[in-house]
Amino acid sequence: MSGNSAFIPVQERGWRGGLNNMLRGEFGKWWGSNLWWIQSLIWIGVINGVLAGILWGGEAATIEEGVALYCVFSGLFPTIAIIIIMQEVVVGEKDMGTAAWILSKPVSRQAFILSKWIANAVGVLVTMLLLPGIIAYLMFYLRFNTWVNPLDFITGWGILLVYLLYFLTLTLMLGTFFNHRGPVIGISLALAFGQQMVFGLLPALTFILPWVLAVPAGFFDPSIAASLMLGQEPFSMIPFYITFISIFVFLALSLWRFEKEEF
Amino acid sequence: MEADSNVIQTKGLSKSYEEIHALKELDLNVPKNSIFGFLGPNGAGKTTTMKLLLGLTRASAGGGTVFGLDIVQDSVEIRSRVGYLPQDPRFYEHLTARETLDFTIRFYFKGPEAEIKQRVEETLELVDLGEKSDRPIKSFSGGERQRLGIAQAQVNYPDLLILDEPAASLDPLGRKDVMEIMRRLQKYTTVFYSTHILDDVQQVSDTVAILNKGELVADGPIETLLAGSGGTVYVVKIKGDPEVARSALNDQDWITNIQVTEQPDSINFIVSVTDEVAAEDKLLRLLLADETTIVTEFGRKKYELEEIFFNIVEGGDHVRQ
Repeated sequence: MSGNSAFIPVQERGWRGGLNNMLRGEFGKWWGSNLWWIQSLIWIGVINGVLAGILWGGEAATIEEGVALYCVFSGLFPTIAIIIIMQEVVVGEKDMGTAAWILSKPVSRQAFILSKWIANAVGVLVTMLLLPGIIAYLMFYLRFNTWVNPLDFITGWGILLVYLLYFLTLTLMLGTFFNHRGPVIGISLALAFGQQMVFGLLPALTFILPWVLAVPAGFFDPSIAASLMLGQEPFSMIPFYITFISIFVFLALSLWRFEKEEF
Repeated sequence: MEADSNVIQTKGLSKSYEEIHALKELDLNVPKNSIFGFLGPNGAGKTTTMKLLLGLTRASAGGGTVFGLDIVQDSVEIRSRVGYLPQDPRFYEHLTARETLDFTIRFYFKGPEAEIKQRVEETLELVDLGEKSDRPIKSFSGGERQRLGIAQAQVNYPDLLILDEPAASLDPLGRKDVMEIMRRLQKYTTVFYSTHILDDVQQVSDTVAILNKGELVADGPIETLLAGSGGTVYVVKIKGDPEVARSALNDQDWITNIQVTEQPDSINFIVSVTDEVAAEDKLLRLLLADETTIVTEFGRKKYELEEIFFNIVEGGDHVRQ
């Protein structure tokens, strides 16, 4: 039995303990398997397919309408997949016992959570936003024979990314608080698709919840993402700032709660 | 920094879940390079102790060190030198055995690539999974998962192996292999393991602790434990008249109890004594004083671990060495 002298030891300690290998493993789940192209095909099919039907079916007569609908589709549709993928990330691993196995290795709990967050955020960004977005960008040119300003388009993407990250981080956080999938999926979906229902009762929530980042709230038209993509001044940036800050609050709560988890 | 020759030391380590005391003020010392058997019935607190040492759960009171490092503050550092096999090993089902070991070893080493690959291959061979190494784990039997569990626990050649029921789901041949692996590793590492299979403990362990209802009720070198837990007892086999032999011993104040059982070819005396020196000096002489008595066997009673275990767990004895 030879010793370990021939090996180069991993030096990461403290909160970074095990982070590199965790990231490698988590990225591997996206890019080392079928997941990335299956997700890409699904979201290109759903977002660009529906958009094509609208652009060439005559329902979107202007580029403004096309971009506004693209933002709605890119915000709302992938949210369902994000919630389904992310509810598995912590609750699934706690339930399966693999979280306990990983944490018996030199892995900090922060590294465990951060690796899940980073790898899934990149996976979502590429497969649900970037690839369908590039195709949508080309579709707008083909349909209206004019280019959307690329910088404006990228800025709008940033808003949509924040919208998706909000639900990604929320579901991750709920996974650290609950041991069953039911409340994690239920709360996330309720917030994702029920938020506009309370705007009539409490209009102030329009500025707190992320809905208007991607979807017109009815009395605010178009959404913040669509406004920025079209080079227009959005009605307010406050919902964006609150959503952006919420992501980091959710992440901090995830780290705090997971630190207390017992296996 | 390692304080002394003990790899694991706990002081008053306790764990409660609301009203349930899973572990009560555990003071444990596990010597370096020992094969330390951690025994106890289900729910005794063995797994809880292991999880506390690994930082998977938090102590309600007390604390401990592994390699002289605090189990709470230095948990990641400790785990970089420990290999752990959980009671019910769970892995990512979509990975193969080779991918699992490759993933595991990279928590400890970042290179060189050739060495990592070689270590993974060696470890797969060690647990006899070489031919199944490219099958997804979801197709593995319980025994194969257990073997993989042992492999991932020792792929980094840890300074301390913590094994929770390592032979639990293995057939007799698999169990024998695990015991052999543990013996082989003792030269390089300390093995702290829990088991229900007392025969295995007696075969491979040099030190033992028995836990019952969250309390440490016995610990020490296995030889000391096997020598007896209820005072010194001698076993004498004689041929002759048992009443004569009994009367020879009756008036000795250092003898507390005599049990006589008649066998077809001999009579067995189980003699409990309070003074070991007096017993060594006089017991045999007293019996042989009668010329018709023939002693065919004489010696201190050797206990089986199972006997000690049941005495302690069911009888409430406490043995600390």
